[in-house]
Amino acid sequence: METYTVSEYAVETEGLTRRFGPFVAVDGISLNIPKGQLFGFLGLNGAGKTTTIRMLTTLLPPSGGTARLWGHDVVREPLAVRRLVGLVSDETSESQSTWTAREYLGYFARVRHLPGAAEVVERSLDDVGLEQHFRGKLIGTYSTGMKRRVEIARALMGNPKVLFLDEPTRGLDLPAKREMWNLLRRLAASEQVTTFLSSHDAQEIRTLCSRISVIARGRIVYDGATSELGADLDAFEERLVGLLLQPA
Amino acid sequence: MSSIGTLYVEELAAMMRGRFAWLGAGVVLLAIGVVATVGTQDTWLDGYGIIAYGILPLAFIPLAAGVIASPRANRFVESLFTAPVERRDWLVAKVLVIFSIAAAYWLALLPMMLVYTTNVGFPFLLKKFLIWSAGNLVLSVAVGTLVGILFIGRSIAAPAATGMGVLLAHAGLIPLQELMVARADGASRTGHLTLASPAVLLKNALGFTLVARSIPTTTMMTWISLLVVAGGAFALAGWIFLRAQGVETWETSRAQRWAIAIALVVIVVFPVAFADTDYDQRAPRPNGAPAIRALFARTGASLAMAAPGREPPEHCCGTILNRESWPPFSTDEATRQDLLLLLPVDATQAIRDLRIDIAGEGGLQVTPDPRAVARAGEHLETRTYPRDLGPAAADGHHIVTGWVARVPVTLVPTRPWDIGGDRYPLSVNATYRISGDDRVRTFSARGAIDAQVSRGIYEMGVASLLLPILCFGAALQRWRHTR
Repeated sequence: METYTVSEYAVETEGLTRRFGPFVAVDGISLNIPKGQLFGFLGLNGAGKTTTIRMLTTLLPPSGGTARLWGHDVVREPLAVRRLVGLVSDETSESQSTWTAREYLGYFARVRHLPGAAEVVERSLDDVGLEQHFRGKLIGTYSTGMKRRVEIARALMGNPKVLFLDEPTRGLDLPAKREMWNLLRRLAASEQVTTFLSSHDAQEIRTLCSRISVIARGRIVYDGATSELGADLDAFEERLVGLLLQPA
Repeated sequence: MSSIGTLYVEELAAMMRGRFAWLGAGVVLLAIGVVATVGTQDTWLDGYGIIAYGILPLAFIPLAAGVIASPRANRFVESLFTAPVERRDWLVAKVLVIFSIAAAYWLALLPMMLVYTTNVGFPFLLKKFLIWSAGNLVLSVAVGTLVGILFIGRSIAAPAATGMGVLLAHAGLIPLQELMVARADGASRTGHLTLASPAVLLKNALGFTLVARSIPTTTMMTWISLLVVAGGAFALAGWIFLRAQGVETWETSRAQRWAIAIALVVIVVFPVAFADTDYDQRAPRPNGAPAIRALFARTGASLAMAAPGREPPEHCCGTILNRESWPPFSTDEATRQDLLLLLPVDATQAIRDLRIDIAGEGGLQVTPDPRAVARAGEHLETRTYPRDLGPAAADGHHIVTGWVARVPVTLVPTRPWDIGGDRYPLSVNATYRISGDDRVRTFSARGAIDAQVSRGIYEMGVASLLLPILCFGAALQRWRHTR
């Protein structure tokens, strides 16, 4: 049985910074995300969303500041952090297009030493609604929406406490996008995971998240309730544009 | 199972899920098999041996580079390293997978080798090739792993192309070194430069050559150089991956960048500067082939061979007497032929007292028909030579129409030293007189016959097809299961 450090927050960052040479991609951001929340992280392309997620999931070492997940430091305890997280980025399962969904998930089930790997795989694919007859076919033949489902199933293996979704609906058409939103709502309700949803799609964030942070040029320019940004989508987007384009 | 064990099993299975993994393996093995089978018609060990044991193992440089670079290029590491997986364990497992593929390649050559050794034994060169190929595989995996680690990007084109460039350099330096040593320039600057190829280093360390006749007298610094290359490449690759890089990014300090640059220079320059180049020792003979020195140095042919009672081939007459006939003679089988002595005597002059002595060498048993030999002078034929290609008479002019002595012989080439391309020398000595001149004239000529193990091509063909068929079967099965 795994034990976790007692912490009030699922994600805590303080002055988290990442530089690439002279370029500051993420500039001292501080976040406190309570457990079990569906948290929205909104910004324009290149604002620093993906870099922040990569630091929080141990893929990228920070240049400064600290980040903790459930109390575990991402730099000092990377393995402990990896046991807590699942990441869905926009194209990872594309990379394994010559694997079947069963093979892809089976790989991660066994690498995570999950007991009854085959059953875990089938259950995970059931959870994301991937039809049986597709499971033995190559991922390269799937639609974008199906690939994203496989990615979510993979990210949910091992029951993560924090699920990071980086642009999960990029490239999806409207029906597939709405299907994905329903899936995320269902997961948030049933799995009690903290969901960190990164997107540049204002409608998506407003639809799904009760709390958001807005990042622009590597800095947090808004952190609060979604509803405070506007009563309807039009007002929300207008306020958002103001935040995103405000002078540095 | 340990983490490394689990990762090893999963990565090995994943490796064979590639779009063309089984198909590619089948095609490569089929191509090697074709070379092995065709090689039975020639010197198998020189042709197929150098390609399969010397050159192809170097292909593991770009292969290893691609295998290491690919998960970062296609972002698989993002899924992998957000799972509780130690990067060290994954790297070890990945290198072990490449080693397993390399070992599989080495083992895949065994059926062809067994056909060879069953027929002709285990020559010195083949023993060395077995070690050379294994060593080349290890060295190639080391260098390829380092190349793959050095490149972080969204494409494997750069590491694969770099690996291919290193492969070409390493392979190209092998004949250059042989040439330099053959010309007694092994210790020249260019000779030193050829030692940048680990394949050349290992060849020197093992004490054999492909063509040159000298090997280094000492090998200690060569072995140390090999350790520097293989150990250095693995150590540097591991250190860079775990200490100087993130999952997909370089995270080096200025000092680390300098350390990497210096280490790379040392790995390349150390063998060039310090490996042994005292090529003073005579190279061991590669196999039991008879010495046929000077056989091919002679100009002007004096012998020809033809099927019993037939005319000699139109393009007559080379040193290899049966070059124009196919298939070559079979070893350990009797072949009846007519040996034609192209006597340098004009057909206008009569020949008497002709005595002929024929001897085979290197295991060739030649039995001339005793009656034909005894009465050779009575059954002379004439032959008209085109364009001054006739044998030179005593006064130096080329015979236009001359006498030819036909001797039926039975040839039995024994003790073959290769499965194909066995060239057995034979020598012919004859004496005769020309009417009107009592002086005894001598005729002396050397030639050779080409022989091969006759069933070798069939056995090699079957042996070389076994594994490709399995690979194609696996490819077909995977296609059917996943379509």
